[in-house]
Amino acid sequence: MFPMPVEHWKPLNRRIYKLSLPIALLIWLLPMIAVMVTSIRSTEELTEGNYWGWPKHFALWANYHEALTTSPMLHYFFNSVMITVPAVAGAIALAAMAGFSLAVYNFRGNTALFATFVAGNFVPIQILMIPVRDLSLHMGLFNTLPALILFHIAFQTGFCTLFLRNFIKQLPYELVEAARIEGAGEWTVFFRIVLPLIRPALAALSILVFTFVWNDYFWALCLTQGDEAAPLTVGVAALKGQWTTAWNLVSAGSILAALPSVLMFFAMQRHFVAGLTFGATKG
Amino acid sequence: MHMTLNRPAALPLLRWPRSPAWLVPALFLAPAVLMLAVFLLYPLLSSFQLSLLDWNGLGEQGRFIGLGNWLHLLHDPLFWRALGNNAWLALFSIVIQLPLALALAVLLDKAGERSRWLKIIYFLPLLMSSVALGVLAKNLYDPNFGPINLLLQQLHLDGLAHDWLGDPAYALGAVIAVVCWQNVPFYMVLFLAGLASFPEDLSEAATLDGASEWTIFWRIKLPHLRGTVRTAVLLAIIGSLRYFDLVFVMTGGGPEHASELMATYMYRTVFSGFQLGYGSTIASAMFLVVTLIAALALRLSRRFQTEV
Repeated sequence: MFPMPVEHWKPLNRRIYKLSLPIALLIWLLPMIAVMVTSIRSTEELTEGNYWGWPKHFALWANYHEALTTSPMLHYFFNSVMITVPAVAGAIALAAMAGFSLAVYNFRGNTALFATFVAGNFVPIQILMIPVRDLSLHMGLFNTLPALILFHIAFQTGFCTLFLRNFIKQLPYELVEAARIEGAGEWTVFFRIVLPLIRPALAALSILVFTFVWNDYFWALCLTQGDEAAPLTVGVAALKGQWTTAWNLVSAGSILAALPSVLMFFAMQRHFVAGLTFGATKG
Repeated sequence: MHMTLNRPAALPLLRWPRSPAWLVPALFLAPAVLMLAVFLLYPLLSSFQLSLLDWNGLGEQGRFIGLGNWLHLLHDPLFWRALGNNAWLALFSIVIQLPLALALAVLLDKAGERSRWLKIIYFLPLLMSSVALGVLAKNLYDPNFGPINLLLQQLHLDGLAHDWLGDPAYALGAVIAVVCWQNVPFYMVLFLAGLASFPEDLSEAATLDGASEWTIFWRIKLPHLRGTVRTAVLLAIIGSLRYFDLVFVMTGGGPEHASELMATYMYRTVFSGFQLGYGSTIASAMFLVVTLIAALALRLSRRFQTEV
């Protein structure tokens, strides 16, 4: 990676370097370790005032069981999954097609259209709050899952298109030409040639968009009312109101809420840095 | 639309009659453009239209009052205060997040393949939802039970213990600290991606010429990352101007508007004050501010196509 391997440095430098990463890491993660420990602290200990010390008894099962059963956590969880999965798939499908079109065809207005997609990313989404709420009311979608799915697709497509267009642009164009000479139609070129080649980008992008949508709080606040269509973020915020002093349960809830995106990330991490790197190094 | 691309067709006789050249790219683009037009462009324009109304959201239509809301906005001290807070957030994001992210990226990049797990762990705060982080941060800052104050008391530094989120003097700073922590990983990944394209023979040659690590960083690596740094600054400014989540969860903009941002102010105006017209005015003003600054920054850098 670097001209001089770490092993050949001056001993002092090497020691500082080797120590600095774990120490920084510990400080970095301290707040998160605190939530994890709190999530397995028993309620008795909290009432005794042992808020931050090492817990004497672990109440892992009891806390998580209670968090799951005494609140509609599972319902929120289900909503989050039903919103996030179609939204990610939809945004990436639309963006892959649009990105393919912008990258492969040379039509008039291409640059202007691409610039519009770029500019769309800079819109402060909050400005859309009132009209979007109105729109969902008019379409009869307010407080339903399809509303959140549709709006998430719309808001993520711009970013995804930008990312995928740059990625497809880097592919050797001869591949597309060769396929056409073989008689492949445009759809086949897209589906059979380009899509398989951009798999790393699709993987990296799907992790990112998954976390964006999964963790969204703003649109969930605007487009839902009550529990019916509320996703986990709203649920966790509600837990906080329900159990103002039961920090252990709130912590258990937050961990459950974070779990899917963390698992996604771990499962796909191999593609993540590679995919982002390839997409971002063009310049 | 007009195609300039020549499509070599080997077996024209066996082919379907050619469709007009613009049709294929247009079909590929149509779904995405349609979504953006309906759910992004239309609401955007509609927001400007609403900003000209006096509307509490109950009647069918509001009363048209022209630029009344905009005039009110210009003299609204709360809006200016919120804008100022957004500016502080942007400043601290650039001064704290970016150098930290860069340092982490350089260290991790140097560790090479072995650092894969470290990269993942550093990325964790970005994977947690702002709501969960906000709840956590509120507990950390709790004046009576929070570990920060407990620690200060243990050290007999009671004078330094404050009601961090409840005291107007400290609320904004306390929130900004958490926002920075949450967002460092994002910029770290951006810099890691930039460093990955760094030609290694460059630093190898510099080492042979006797350059120190320090020199290599300042003289070779940082200039190489110039474009990425510019992108990061732009993203940090825009992100700060439209920030909402953590502030809303931790303080809701309070106490006494000490941590109010444009977005939280707008949210409150709409959902607590039921002033939909004026809320739209705040939103539109936010859009103008962000667009102006983004356009300025892009003009300065002129590289929007290649780096994002």
